[in-house]
Formats: sequence, C-alpha cells, structure tokens
Amino acid sequence: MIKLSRTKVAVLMLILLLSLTGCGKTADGKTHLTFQIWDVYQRPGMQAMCDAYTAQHPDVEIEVQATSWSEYWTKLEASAESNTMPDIFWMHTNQLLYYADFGMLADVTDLYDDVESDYYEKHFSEISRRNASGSDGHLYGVPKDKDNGLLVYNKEMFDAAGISYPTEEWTWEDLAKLPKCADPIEDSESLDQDGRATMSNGLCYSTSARGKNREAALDVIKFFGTEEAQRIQGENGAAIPAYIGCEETWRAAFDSYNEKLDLDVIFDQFDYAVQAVYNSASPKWKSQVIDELTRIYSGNQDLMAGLENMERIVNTETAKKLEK
Amino acid sequence: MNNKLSAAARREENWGWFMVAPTIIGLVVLNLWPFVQTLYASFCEHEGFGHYKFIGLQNYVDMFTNAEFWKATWNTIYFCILTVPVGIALALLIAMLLNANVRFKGGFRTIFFLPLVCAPAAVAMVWRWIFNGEYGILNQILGVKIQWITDPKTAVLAVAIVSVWSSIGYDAVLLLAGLQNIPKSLYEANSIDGAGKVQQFFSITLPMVSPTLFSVLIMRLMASMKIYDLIYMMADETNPALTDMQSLMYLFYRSSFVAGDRGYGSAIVIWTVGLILLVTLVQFQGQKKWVTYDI
Repeated sequence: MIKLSRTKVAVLMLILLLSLTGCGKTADGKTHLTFQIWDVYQRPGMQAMCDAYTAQHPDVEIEVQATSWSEYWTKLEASAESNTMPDIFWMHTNQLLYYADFGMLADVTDLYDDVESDYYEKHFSEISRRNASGSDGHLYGVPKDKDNGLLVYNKEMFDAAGISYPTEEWTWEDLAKLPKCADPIEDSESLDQDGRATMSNGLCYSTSARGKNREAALDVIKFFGTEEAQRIQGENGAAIPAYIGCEETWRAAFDSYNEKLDLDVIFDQFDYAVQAVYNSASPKWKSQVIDELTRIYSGNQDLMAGLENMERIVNTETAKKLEK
Repeated sequence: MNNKLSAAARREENWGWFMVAPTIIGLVVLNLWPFVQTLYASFCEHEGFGHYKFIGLQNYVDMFTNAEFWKATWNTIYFCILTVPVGIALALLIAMLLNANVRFKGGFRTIFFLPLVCAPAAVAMVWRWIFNGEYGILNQILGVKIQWITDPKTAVLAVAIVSVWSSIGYDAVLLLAGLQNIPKSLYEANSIDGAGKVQQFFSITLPMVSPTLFSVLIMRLMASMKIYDLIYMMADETNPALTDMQSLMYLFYRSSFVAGDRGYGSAIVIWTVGLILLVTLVQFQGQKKWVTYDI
C-alpha cells in the first residue's frame, strides 16, 4: 500500500482546490463583459453593435451569449439571486417590473444627463419609455426596439372559401364578418376612430444594480441607446430600432430578398398602436393565459368563455400581487 | 472515540471516514440539504429572488383543490402503467434472446444498448419527427393521420413509446447479467426431467432472475414517476395537449421556473416524493411473495 503522509495529502487537496478556482481571470488587462440575449437571429446585429463599441474602446471585450427564451429567464433569475448576473442583458416588459421592483436592475434615468437632460423624451416614444420603467417611474433599461401585432392570412384558405383577401382598409369589424369568426370584442377604448387597433411592445438593455462591472456595462448600454448603435441594430435586421428616426434602417435587412414584403403597414401602425398589456404580476399569469389561448385555438374552449377565464386569471394574480 | 481500539486500528478507522467523506459530503450537500430546503419551501410563498414567506399549509390546500394537479398526478400514474410492465417484459424478452445461442450476439447487444448512448434531447427530437402528424414516417407506414403529440388521447402514449424504446437496452443488459448467473446445470437437470421451455421459464428463469428483475422494477418505476425531460423536449409550451400529458415533474417545472411559484412547486415535489416512497414500500412488502434470493 502506498503510504501518504498527512502533509502530502493536504498539499494534494490544495492543488486540486486551486485547479478548480484557478480559471476565470484573464491576464490581458481588459475588461471582459458578458451580454446575454435570447434570440439567435439577432446575434449578428448585437455583435455588430458590440464591435462598434469595442472599436472605440479597445480595453473592453464583450461576449454575446444567446440562449432560448425559456432558459433565459430561469438562468437570469438564478443569476440575480446569486449576484452573478450577466453584465448586459435584454429585459422584457413581462419581467421588467419583477426585476426592477426587487432592486435587481441599475437605474439608468440619469444615464444621458451629460448629453441632454431630456434625451429619453426626445429620442424614444412614450410606449418605449413606459416599457423600460419600473413601478417608481424610473428607467431601468435603455429602450432597444419596438414592434407591433400584424394580421397574417393564408391565401389558400381564402381562395378555397371564395372570399377576397383582407385589405389595408379592413377593420376588426370586417374581420369579424368572416365565416367562423367570433364577434368583435366591444372595447372602443383600444380602437381608433377608423376601427383599427394593435399592440406595441419593446425590449430594453439593462444591467445589474450590483454587478462587478456596473460602470463599464452602463457605458456600453449608454452607447446602445445612441443613434449610431440603434442604426446598426436596424441595418442588421435585428429589430426595428426604438430610437425615433432610425426605424426605417430596418428596411435594409430585406434588400437581399427578391420577395418584397409590404413593410409600410408595420411603420404606419406605430401611429395608433397601444402599449402591450402587462403588469407586475405578468410572470404569474402569462403561462396560464397562454394555456387558455391554446385551448381556444385547438377548439377545446369557447372563445368567450376562454376570454372570461383569462380576465379572471389576470385579475386574480394581479390582486394577489397587490395584496403584498 | 472508542478506547478499545488500538492506535493503529483507530488510524485505520479515521482513514475509513476520510475515504467515504467525499461521498457523504456530496450526499449531504447535494441531496439531503436541498431536500430539507424543498420541504421548508413547500410551506412558503416565494416572493421573488430567493425570498420566502412562511404561509403554512396554503400551498398544499391550493394543490389538492387544483384540477390541473390531479390531472398531472393521473398522467404520471398512467405513464407508469404504460411504460413499466411493457418495458420490463420487453427487456426480459430481449435479454433472453440475447442470452440464447444466436449469431451476431455482440452486434445485437450493441444495437439494443445504443438508445442509451444517445443524448435524450436528440432522441426526443428524432421521435418528434417520426410522430409528426403531417410528414411523420409513423403515419406514412400506418397509413393513418394521427396527431400523436398534439392529440390529448395519444400524447402520453407517444411519450411512453419513446421512454420504453430508450430504456429497454439498459434494462435488458441488467437482466442479461442476471440470466448469465443462472447455472446451466439447472436447465440440463430440468430437461432430463422432461420439462418444456415454458415450464423452464416459470420454474427456473423467472425465480432465478427475480432479484435482478426486482431492482430493475424499482428503478424503472422511480424513473417513470419522475418523467420530465422527454415531455419537455417533445411538447412545446403551446402544445394543445400539454395539460393532458404533463407529469408531476413537468408541472413542478412550470410552477417553479416558468411561473416562479417555487413554494407551490416544492409542494408538488414533496407530494411526488411521497408517492414514490409509498410505491417503493409496497414493492418491498410485495417482493417477499415473488423474489427468491436463494436457491
């Protein structure tokens, strides 16, 4: 049998321990930042923005990490709990209030004070700003993009039924007149005078309130909110930039395709779109509402009963949240 | 310390503790402590980011009055009924065939063991295509148009088929080892006495392999009650049959990690642990009737 002295064993264990903790630090003197996103297709756009930043700041390196949507939130919450959040990450309106109200996100309200005191008001729409605000009205992220809901239809099904295709003039009323369509929901508040309505949502860039590289990360997301960065985002086709005046850059992404899409509809809709529905209880009711929607789509649930259920789910979860 | 031991014996004892320490520490840190935490969390409400508030039995009250929870409990039991008897019977059959004198025995053993080497995620993806209602090969062969994964009637069955397929090789190898321990002389003596193949199976093979069969049964049942990964991979969040196929562990995942309701999720886990404990106890009682440990 091999005899090991106590000291030898202790030294061995120490070496083992050191080999476990030894990795991580780099010796090149640069600040290494991580940037977490949930959409692989937006990766090139995000990378291009990071490259533009690091070209001006050679002492910083940014690593873009993409995961799937569902994993993203599991990972982000776990990292927030252990204070090991990524340096920069996307924030969604579903989750923003949950993170912001718990003090997990850095307050970026004053980020552009040295540039313009009304930077956000000037360059981002009210919806964009509200999507990045916590319950206290402070901004916890720099607006990234904006979207809105569209009606997509299957030409073959319209042909088969002998009905003419929907046109730009169509309102929700016209849609409801189609066979097998439900009655329109009578909520005049969300419709404009022409009977049109859509919802708009948007993401923002956030950083942890207690991150190790907080200052460096804040400087990067400050850049992400500039016209230059938002333009890069649009040109790479990642998403429609939130920065007012940069929206059209997104068209460039479609230049290489022969099939021309009618993009004007999307841009026109921003004029009357309302903010997407969310509140601080969103993480609680969202999956239940999706379950209910799936039941309606698969024909297992009557539309009106389903909508009533959804309303009840949202109200119950919101009331529970407000009780606290 | 035990004073009756000599210095050398005591040193040896210390070394013994030292050697088992990594396992013991691992068990306590990775299994026992999380279990205690889960038990505590099941009496709490998760307010966010690891902050818990004690609410007594409320999670259990919510759970037992929730139809979705009972549906998930039934789905789990149904899944066990579908996978365990069929899976083990098939595994035993394959093990016996592999134990017989067939050509290319090594090749067959490899083929049956292969599913276990494949990553579960890859297995699930391939099977999703096989089951695909529009273009899947299964429907092409059968000449039917069944939406295997999205039809509430067949969703659990589809997952069960994949589960049996991927676990059969492992069980067969374990059972094969049990079969090879049966002395050939028993069969020889038996056939001299004029017994047929069927009688041989019930009077020699089954009793002799029963201890292995028992451990395979326990393991397979536990694994089936904890089914999660296959469902996660095979069903999307928007699958209309999701509530008809989700197991207890999947419901736990959705409660704890999607809805962030970790207290409620923990209560589901405790319930599942209780179920597994009950089933295992019943099995240990039942084994006295059919498992033979000595000849």
